[in-house]
Amino acid sequence: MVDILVWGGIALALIVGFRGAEIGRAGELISGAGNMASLAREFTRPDFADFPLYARQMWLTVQMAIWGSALAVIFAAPLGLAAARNLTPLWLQQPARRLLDILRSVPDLVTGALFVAAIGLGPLAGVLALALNTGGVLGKLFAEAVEAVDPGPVEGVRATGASPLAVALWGVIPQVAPLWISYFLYRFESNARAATVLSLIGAGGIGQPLFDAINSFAFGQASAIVLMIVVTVTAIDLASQWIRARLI
Amino acid sequence: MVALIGPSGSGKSTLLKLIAGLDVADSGEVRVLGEVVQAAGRRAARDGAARARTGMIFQKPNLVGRLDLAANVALGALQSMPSWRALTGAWPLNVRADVTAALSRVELLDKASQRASRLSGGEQQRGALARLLVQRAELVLADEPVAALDPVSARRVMDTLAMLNGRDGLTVIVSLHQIEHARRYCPRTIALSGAVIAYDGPTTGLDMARLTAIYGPEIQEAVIA
Repeated sequence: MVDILVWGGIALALIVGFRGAEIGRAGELISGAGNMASLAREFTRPDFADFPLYARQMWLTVQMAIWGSALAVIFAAPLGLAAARNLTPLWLQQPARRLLDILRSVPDLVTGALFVAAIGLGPLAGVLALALNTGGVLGKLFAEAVEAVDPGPVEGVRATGASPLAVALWGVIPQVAPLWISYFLYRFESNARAATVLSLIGAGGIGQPLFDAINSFAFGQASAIVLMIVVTVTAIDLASQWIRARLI
Repeated sequence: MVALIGPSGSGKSTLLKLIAGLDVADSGEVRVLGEVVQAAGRRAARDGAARARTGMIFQKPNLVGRLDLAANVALGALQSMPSWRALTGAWPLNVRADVTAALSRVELLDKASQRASRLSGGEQQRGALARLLVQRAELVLADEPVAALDPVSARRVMDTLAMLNGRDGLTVIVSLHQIEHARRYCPRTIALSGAVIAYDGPTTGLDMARLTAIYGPEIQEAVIA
């Protein structure tokens, strides 16, 4: 019965979304393949003439991701503990969960625009937008990790008569630390990509030259920038794998 | 040192958790060492003080696996430390001395810097007892502490409990499945059966007739009297 509801629901969602998402036009992919091929050919000739500028902007984007992710942990750690069902009373848990929902669901382009209005154009607005959004995501992931801890050690620390905060710090944090770090590294990596998009609202970074290049049909330059993003994200991924392997 | 025996589901664990203040009863009052822990379904306002004087260990050792043994033992001192120290782990010198003393009492000083998760079950139980020493608990509640251990490790944990009772003067209430441990270590035994006290008296008075009344007739095949 439940199975039918679930699968029926999925099927219904796909049917309802068919027109809105214009899936019917998928055939044009074939008729338009020629155009795509000629554009793709442009992308096979990356133009690194402006390499120093790209490198500078890429580095700026990575720096934004570093600070955006680090500030996010400052929200996410206490909120994640507060939102965990096995740790806190309802009056604290529910507001914490709702706050995380809001942080997560407001797109960072919107929060970014708000920060631009407050402090003007520049990377800091982007960093703050990343921090809020990532804080919401990490907070939820952190809370789920806390809900999965072994209750034995937590009860053991509680039985010593320690304060609730000390119980969380000594009974819970050591258990969730590897998972939290792992989630953090993953979000840091996706932030390096998200920070690119934030250039749209004037936060600076590698997105700026990328959009300029696409808008002026300079696909060789766009290709060079995309390659740099791919290499950077891959490098971050390799570095975080290395860190993860040593921490867990 | 008091043994708490009775069939599974007779309320041994529940009773110990009520005394420790880890569970709250629907009604009635629990007093520990003269202090009210809980009354009429509510925890007492100052139950932290009573909880600090009471220590509890469980069948499954509950040390924090990723912390080393010394840090785990030091956690016993959290309740006596100012909160900034409790939250930063800046253990005062006297706590460090207590940790060293407690670890040598349970003969685990050589394992002090090992992660708790790397110790054997029996070593973890003795580590938990060292934590109780640092906590300066006056009452030790042990909920089937040796049920998951091999006979030799079980003996060492029971010996350690007996030492805390005999030399350090701690009151020990230990729930047990094996009557032999009760006979060997505990002068007094309380038996629960169906959540009521079925026997309370000297362990030597537990003859086969009494055990049959507590556990049912099949006990005669399970225990060599």
